[in-house]
Amino acid sequence: MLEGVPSLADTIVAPATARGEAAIAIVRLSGSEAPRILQCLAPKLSLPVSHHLRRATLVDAYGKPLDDAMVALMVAPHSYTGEMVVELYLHGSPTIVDATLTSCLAHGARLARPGEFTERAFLNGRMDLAQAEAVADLIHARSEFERHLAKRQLDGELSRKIGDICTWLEGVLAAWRAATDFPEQLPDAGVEPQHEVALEHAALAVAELVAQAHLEVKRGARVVLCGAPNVGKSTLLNAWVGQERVLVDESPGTTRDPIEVELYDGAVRWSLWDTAGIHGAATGVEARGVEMSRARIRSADVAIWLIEPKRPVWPDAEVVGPNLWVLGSRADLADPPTRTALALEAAKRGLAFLGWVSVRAGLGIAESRAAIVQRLAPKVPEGAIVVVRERHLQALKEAAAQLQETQQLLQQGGTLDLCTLALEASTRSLGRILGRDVDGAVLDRIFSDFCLGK
Amino acid sequence: MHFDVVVIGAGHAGCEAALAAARLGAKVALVTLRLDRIAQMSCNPAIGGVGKGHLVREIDALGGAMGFVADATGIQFRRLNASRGPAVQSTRCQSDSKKYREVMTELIAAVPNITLIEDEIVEILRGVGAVDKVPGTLSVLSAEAENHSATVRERKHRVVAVMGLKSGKISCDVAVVTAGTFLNGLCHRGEEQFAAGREGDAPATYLSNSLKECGIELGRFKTGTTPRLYADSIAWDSLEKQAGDLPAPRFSFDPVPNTLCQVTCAITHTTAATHEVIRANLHRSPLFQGVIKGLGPRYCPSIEDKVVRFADKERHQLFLEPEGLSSDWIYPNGLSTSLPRDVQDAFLHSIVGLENCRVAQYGYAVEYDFAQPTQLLPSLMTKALPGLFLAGQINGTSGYEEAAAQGLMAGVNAVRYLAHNAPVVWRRDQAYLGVLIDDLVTLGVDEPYRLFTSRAEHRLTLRETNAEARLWRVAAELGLLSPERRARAEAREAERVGLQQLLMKTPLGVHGAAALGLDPAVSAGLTAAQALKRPELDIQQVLAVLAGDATSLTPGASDRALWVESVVAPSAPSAPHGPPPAARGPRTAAVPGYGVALDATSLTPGASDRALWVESTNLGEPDRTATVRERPLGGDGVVVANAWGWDLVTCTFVEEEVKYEGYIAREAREIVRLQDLEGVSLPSVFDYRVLPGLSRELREKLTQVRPLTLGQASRIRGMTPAALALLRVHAKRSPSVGAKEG
Repeated sequence: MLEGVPSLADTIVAPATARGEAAIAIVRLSGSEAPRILQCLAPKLSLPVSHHLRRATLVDAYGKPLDDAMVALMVAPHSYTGEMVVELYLHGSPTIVDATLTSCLAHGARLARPGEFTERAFLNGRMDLAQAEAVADLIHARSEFERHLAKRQLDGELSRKIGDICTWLEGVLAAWRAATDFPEQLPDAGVEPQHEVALEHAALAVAELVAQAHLEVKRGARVVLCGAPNVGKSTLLNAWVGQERVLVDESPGTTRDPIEVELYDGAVRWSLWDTAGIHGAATGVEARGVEMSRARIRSADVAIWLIEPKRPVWPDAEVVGPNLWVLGSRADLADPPTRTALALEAAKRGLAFLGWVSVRAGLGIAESRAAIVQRLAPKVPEGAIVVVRERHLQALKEAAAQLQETQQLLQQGGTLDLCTLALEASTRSLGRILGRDVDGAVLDRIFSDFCLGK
Repeated sequence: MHFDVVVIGAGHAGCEAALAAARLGAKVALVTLRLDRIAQMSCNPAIGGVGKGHLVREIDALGGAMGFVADATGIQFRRLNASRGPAVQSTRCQSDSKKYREVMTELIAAVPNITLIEDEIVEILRGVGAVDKVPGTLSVLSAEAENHSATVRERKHRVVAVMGLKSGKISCDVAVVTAGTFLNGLCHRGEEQFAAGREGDAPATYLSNSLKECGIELGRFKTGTTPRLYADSIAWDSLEKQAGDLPAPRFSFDPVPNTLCQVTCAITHTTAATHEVIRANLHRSPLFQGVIKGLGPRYCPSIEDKVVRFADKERHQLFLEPEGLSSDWIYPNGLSTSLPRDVQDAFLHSIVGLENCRVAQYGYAVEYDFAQPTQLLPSLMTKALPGLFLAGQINGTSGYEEAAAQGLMAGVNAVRYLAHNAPVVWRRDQAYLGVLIDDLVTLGVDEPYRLFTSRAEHRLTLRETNAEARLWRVAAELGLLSPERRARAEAREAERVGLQQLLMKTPLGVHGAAALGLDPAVSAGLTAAQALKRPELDIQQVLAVLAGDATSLTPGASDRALWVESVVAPSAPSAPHGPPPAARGPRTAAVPGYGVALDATSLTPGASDRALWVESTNLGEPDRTATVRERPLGGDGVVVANAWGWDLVTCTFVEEEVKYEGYIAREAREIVRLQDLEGVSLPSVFDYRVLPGLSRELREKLTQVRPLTLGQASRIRGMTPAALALLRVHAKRSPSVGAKEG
């Protein structure tokens, strides 16, 4: 091993569980040296049978006992990474974990880089790229819905669907190639009705995947709290989050810099942005803040316009859109007729009205949050395959465009050579989802997304 | 005697190798078992086909001989895949095989630094020491390069001589082995077996051993050939005919005079009875008895193979092709077989039209030694022995064109090796030559390799029509073109550029748009090139409009936009044997917008169609006529430049470039994207055992092929995306880990 140069020949080690106190902590090794290092750590242990848990006393480099642990050996290629893998189940004390890591390093292992275990799993063909990405999704999942989607992708659901579509297209390609390679033996060969059927089939399947994509599941829906100055936006944000995240002041115009908070509710991951109050008379620094707010509203998935009953300021034409929902603030200051009137006014203006909150009276905080989450939740049919990554969606859109081009060429009577080239391009786009033909920079970015130890 | 290069075998590969090496200034010996069998067509008397036509045109662009000889001796020319788009269109011709041999032999005999030797080479001799530089060779290279020096440093030996049975020791610095199917050739016909390279030719028996001693591992392949029939014993009248295309497509970019009579072929098919006879006698086929050890080609299967594998097909199509104008033999294409004579008689007589045919030569299969081409560097030099090059069917390819292509590159790289220059290695986006050789040295072969257009990724970039445009400059830099040829290539480029610029600069105008059926209000400002992009328009229509409305032409005005659209030959004396040609009237020439032109009687029958031009037009009503003349040819057959008429070839090229511009540009972007992989180099000496996680087979393949770039590694058979990513990661991080010393 060359000093300082990470190599695939190295045996890597890292904790597999999060740092902190817990009952058990797991340290994992992967590489050809893993069995030997296990022997060094547990000299009295005879090499265990693959995939069996054994109890062992681990010692450090001086022979002093480290821990009374359980150990397991997974013999290549039947392991997560496809290499020799050793897992040590230690008592969950950070001191023990550190000491164990130190011993492993002393015996020749190297600390793994972020994502390196999964990277090796992919490189050794234990999973394709979509599955490797699903591992990251699974780890970062903050909701049951995310976890469920990631698990299905890890199981290969998306990969199989892509594989099926590619198989249909490759059948057509084989026929077209035969027609051009053997024109004398197959003089009448060309485009058959079943080819057009297969293309349509594939195009529909790709379109379905594109339509069912919900990138916001992974990156989070962007929700912006907006409204006139001092309608209670920051107060409400603090109430939703449950702690003082934003500075609140009696005088209007306190919030200048946008604050972003990440929230998770069941299926939904969303980020909530507070903004400076929007009003026409702003000048200087304040005006810039207002401009930034408007920009935030334009780039958000949903904007929540807070309106207060005493001096209701409605959103202007610039910010009104289908994703703007109105929420009544300071409900305690309005009597029922006022509240109804405001709701009707909202309806008259064609705006969706969510309801009323009062932070001071503790009314409607949870309900309003729930109403928002309910509207944000992705409407996904049962069993549908949901694409959550930008990279996948991009490849699917390219494939869809190339398939459409192929179909258009066929309709316009384009020559077979162009049709074949367009169809080949679409299978390449689909293949990129699975990791075929992906360039190194993309791979690097994918795997650096992982945390240490994964 | 000493030669710089000895070429062993004067088949299609050997001829191109010798000619190329000689053109680059080397002193060449071309050794053959029989001087009267140079460039013999052992099987199909035809050149070209899908993918193969591309190779022939590229060989021509590089100054090779095959295109010229094929054009000079062709007796039927056709364009395949005409309706399937320019990316897959290929040229094919039937040849007079005797004339082909004669013309090629003449060409070779005319080259002063090629010495023809009739002998059998039995051994390749090795020695030590450095190679002297060959004077007069270029040291300029613009094509891709790979490093010979690593190989040369590794090995202690190099080629120093070859041993001939009659000539004794012939000292040389390079040996190019182009032995075809002759190495331990064993022919099978039913229960008969006879040692031969092909019917009537003794095999080479010692050379295989010598190659093995040089460190080359040999495998065994087989290929079959059809029976030959007497033309006068075939019932031609009952069969469908197929004539050549007019105007006749050509391979060479130079005009090649061809005054030969053009023939028609006939089409027939097998019947259920044929299949029964074959099935009943499979046990007597050496193929099925397992007597033949070698693997056969999937794309050129024997009739036994076809009947068994496609059992539900009721009939298989066959083409009956004449072997030559002076030959009375017919070649039935699609009837390759190794069944015994009596079975061949039986199944032949069951074929439509062949009920009373007489056999001139029975079909047979030939088994022969070949060398797995992964043992070669991309220059076609063996990894085992510097100075030893292998080219042609010996590398496991089938087809004259694949052989000639390899021969040309082996000849070029042999001389570059002698001059200590990096070899010429084509990328897959530069030429079909690149696709062919990369496939061979990276993938290896497990059956005789045949080139198809589907093997190339960048088919729009590698069209037949742009072979010269792609390659002539490099050919000139390498010294492969004579000054005259270079001048002609340059002139042709100027023509192409001129026409393209004319189209791009000239607006249609109101009348022009109307004449093309477009709305003048919208399209008057379009350039001719923009109009040409429309699928319903072709270049003839657009050019006609550029010259103005035909009725507005003043007599004698320069109407450069006119040309001869098609030519119909008079009923020339028919081939002495073979099917009578389709009835033809007096020679007429058609000019678009003018109908049929007259005054074609002054034309020499068979003159190259490209040499015709419209001399003048007569706008008198009611008959508008045009007078067609032949362009004057210079003394050496060169077309004298004049102001009349755009060459049809130029027009086709420009039409493709304009219509497909967007697609070609897109392909170019994809090629750039792929350069990313091609640009990552892997160490040429590297121990793949160091890399964990590679399957044993992949490790073996990588060690055998020793890919030089990540791109080449990606094409290795069985390479997985994961293994490739592994290599990439490795090449990026620790390029020196695992490299052997030295």
